Amino acid sequence: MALLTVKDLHIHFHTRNGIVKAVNGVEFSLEKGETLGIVGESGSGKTVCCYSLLGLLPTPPARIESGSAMFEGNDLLNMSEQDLRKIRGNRIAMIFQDPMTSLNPFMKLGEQLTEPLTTHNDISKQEARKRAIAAMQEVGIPEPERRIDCYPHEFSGGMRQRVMIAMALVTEPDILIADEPTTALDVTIQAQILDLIKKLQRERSISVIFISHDLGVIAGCADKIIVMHEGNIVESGTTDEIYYQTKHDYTKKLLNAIPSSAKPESAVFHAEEGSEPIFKIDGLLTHFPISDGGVFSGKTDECCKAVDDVSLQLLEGETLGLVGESGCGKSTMAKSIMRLVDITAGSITLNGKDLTRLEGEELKTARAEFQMVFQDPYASLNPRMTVYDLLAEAIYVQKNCSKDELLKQVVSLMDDVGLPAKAIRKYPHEFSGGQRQRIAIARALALKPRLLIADEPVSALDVTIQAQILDLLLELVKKYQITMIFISHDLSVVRYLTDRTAVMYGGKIVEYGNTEDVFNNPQHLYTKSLLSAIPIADPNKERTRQRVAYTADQIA
Amino acid sequence: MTQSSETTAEQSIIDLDSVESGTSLWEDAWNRLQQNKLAMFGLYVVSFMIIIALLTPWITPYSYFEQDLDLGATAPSAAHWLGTDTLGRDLLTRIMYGSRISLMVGFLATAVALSIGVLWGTVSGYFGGRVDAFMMRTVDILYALPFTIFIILLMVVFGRNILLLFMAIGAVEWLTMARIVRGQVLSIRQQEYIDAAITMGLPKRQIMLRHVIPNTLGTIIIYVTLTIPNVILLESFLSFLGLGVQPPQSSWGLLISYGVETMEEYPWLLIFPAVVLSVTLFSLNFLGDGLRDALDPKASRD
Amino acid sequence: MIKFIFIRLLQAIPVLLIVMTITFVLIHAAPGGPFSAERAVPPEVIEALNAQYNLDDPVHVQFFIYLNNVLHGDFGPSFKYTGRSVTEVIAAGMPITFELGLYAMLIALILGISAGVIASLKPNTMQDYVPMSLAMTGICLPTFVMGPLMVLVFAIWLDWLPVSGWGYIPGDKILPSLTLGFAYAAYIARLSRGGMLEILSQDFIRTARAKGLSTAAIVFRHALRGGMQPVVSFMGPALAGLLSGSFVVETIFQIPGMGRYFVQAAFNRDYTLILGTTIFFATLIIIFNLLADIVTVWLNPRLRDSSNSSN
Repeated sequence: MALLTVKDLHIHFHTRNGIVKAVNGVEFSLEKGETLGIVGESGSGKTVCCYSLLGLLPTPPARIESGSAMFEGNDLLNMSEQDLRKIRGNRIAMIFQDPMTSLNPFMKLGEQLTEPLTTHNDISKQEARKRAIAAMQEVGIPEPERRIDCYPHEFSGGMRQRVMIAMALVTEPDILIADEPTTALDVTIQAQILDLIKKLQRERSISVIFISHDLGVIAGCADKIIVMHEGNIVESGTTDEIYYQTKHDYTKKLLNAIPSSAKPESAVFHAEEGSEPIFKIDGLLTHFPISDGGVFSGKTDECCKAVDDVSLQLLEGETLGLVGESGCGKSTMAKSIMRLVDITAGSITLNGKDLTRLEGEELKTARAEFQMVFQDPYASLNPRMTVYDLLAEAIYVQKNCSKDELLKQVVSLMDDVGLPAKAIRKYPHEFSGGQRQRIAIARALALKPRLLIADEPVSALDVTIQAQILDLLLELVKKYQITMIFISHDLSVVRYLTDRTAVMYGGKIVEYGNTEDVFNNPQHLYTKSLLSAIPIADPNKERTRQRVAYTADQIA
Repeated sequence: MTQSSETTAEQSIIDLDSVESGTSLWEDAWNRLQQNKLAMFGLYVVSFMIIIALLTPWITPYSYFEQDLDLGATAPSAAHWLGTDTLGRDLLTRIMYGSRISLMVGFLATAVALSIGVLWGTVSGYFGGRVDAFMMRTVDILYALPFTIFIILLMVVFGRNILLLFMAIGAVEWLTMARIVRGQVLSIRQQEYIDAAITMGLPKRQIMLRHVIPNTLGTIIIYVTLTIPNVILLESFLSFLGLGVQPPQSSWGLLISYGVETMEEYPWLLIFPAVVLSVTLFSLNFLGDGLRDALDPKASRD
Repeated sequence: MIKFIFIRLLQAIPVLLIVMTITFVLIHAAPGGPFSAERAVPPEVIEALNAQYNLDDPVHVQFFIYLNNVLHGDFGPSFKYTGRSVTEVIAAGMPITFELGLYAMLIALILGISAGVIASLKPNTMQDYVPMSLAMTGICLPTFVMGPLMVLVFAIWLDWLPVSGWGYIPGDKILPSLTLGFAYAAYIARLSRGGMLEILSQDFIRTARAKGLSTAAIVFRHALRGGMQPVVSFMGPALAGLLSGSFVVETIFQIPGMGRYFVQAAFNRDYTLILGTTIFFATLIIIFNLLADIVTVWLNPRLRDSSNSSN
């Protein structure tokens, strides 16, 4: 008999604006030692479904309308809070998406790690502490005896996720529910955490429910998969069935949304003989003074070398992918080019003008030539302005023109990015994330720039939406012959979109070349490690691949 | 510059009928506020109070200062709905005249606080760096001063002067306003849409006017609504101690303090002014809380 | 931490000087002197009195004489209470005000925190509405309304408790303490609710629930420490507010504490007593603000060791 059997689960949210059917008849079962992957985009109900098993849903507004979840002969959905509490964190444990916020910042790790033990068992404090230290050791935290008395803020994101895992496993549960456990982490850290979960699962033969939006992440660790869409299971089966004999259109759409190939041939950039670069960066340095930001903050002489001696060149119409993990300086570089932060040294030349030396009116006029699409379309549009105001403002800043002309241009911009003209008077909050990013792209293109910087423009969006926005960008850049710098942590996106790739680490560009060369034949250890860490949506490849590890010393 | 410019021009380029009208955040907030019964109750009561206060000299049959010692204190009756005080003056009339003073001090002092606070906070948040550090240190130091004591001293020293009173109260309340506005300006300046405006080449002044200030308004409105009851309270407190308005003028605090003196014999002289003051404070606080729920973007998510 | 306290103590010095200067200037700018009210006194006597208290010197000279005295712990003699020094008057009134303040604060904290925490556990239900409506009542019934109303009901109509006094008849401390405490209980309840709601919506509370902890363990072990931060930072201003509240309560209940002395001193233009009490109050407020800041930092481990960590 299966360890956990969920049948006919229906969950509705009763909100002020009516009923939202979050989960509609979900069914699955989980055997001992098995890993079940639940895949879906945001709003698919995958998380709601798992939270309901442990009674973690806020009720109201959530209500479990029907269904059962049998675990060892008891129905988890029909249990008293008291009985359920004995199972939570003891027999079924859970880890969450964001390790930065999931640990209590006011408590020492030791307190938090021993809590599941002391809550569920009759066990002495010393014994609990001993077992907590052993668990920390097992998940690969160095010096656990010392670290156990630290507070969470003294740990990095990856280390905190290890702590979360240790905390979940310390009671030796039967089932581990992992809710997007690597989504908030960098790829190389993600690879380490995934390897750790796989290793622990093998050694302890616990069952895992792995929730993710990323078919690449799921491919390597799941035995069977259910694909969810808008509260329904659209497809379920073994991992190989899902990937190699895909039946449902939605699953196909998800799989196709992951750009796994090189740039389409039609979009590949071909340089004309002897053409001069339109954009040049020479010896760019951007340093920030370090202050600790706390109540004791004082000035220090130290500084953070966010961008450290970067030089590169781009031809007109060429697309550059700038890749790196968080904190590598890629966003600071974008802001330096955009004159949003002051640079320390170097020059940035666009179309023969040194952008770093422009001031006042000259800078204002020149700004039309270099524009930016920001990461978060929820934050980059002023919530109190209509689409018309947002786009018209961009045009009007640079050129005083008649209302008629303004309106005509706004409508044509909206057409360019695939927004209906009738939505012209709507406000940003009335659009979806993807549509908002279209507005942001339209705004950036309003001034007909020569250079476009796109800073992680799709990382806040669902995969299927991502693909649409990427294709839109590709099309517009081609249409208007725009030179683009595309910043991303996602290597597959960069491969799909760009002609040249620069890999950034610690403020420096460690590898720079034609995109296909960088991907097929990486030279630098860091690039190799990064490439080996990207999850591939192909179970056979994913199960057998070897990671290239690196240490900071080797790179410096 | 581009506000609602789609009149005749629009027809020529797109079909006007097909344009869907959007709902701005203000309209959203207003809709949410209307659903909040307590807040709407507060809004109605406050509006009612203001109208009555404005019309008082024309609608009361009695004067607030003429005494009728023969009549003395009487309980509520048909002629005097809320009774009369020990000097035979109609209590309702005195409460109504008192509301003119109390509400005026409330609104004017808040206006003073608002002007200084918004200016100070905006400049501080806008320039940042040393200017900000200096301006905020000043606020910090002023914060540590025992202001209630100073106001009491001011009143004692310069006599009970209503103009001085609301200047003094305004001068205290602006500190919090300045802090709140600065915090808002700073957090909005970090938003990506401000970066976007900079990269478009929009001049700093325009960025402030079009992007920063409209987005701080919500918080300012909430805070203003919650400052008014505080000011009314402070004025009543001073009048109660005998340091507010000068008799025969009346204010709620003064009426309450008279009421306390005679509460054993004539409890209505204490109870009615106390009820009016409390209902006003309730209404303003309900309205303020309702506005916070309606305007706070966090609340709009669920 | 020591550096932080030291810096804050240094900052207190200019604040105190400003307080002193403003008060001094304000009082001396006032028309009429402390002895002008006593009509029967012949002019020679007033001159003699003025000379005795250095009132005939230029204002700045008086200021430095006074400053020098204060630094030696001497606030001078009271003008009105002849034969008593300001220090003596403060020493007589202070214990009473402190006791009143202490009871009021205890009532405020106990009532306020429990009401706020209870309300935050089930937001937008009766369990939230009832304590929060009570809190709103506390805010909208200021001390000078609350006090007389309580006297009217409990002392005059029901005759359960004494009308006034402090320590004369058993039970006479109850009404003043409740009056003063209730207003702050209301503020504290609202702040605790807000702080708790903020913390309870955090991811780490979900983690705690997923560990199978009981509601009590979640509230006491995980949420209170963070949820009480707004209350802690309110303690500084609250204690300052308690002082001005004590003016009203001590006046209503005829309690011979500092607050009543201060109000009377202000009416009587008792220069030295006003200056003395103002400086004394200001010092108290500064100390309480400092304590509140220290506790805030101490409660938050991230702030606590930001002095020795770096990015």
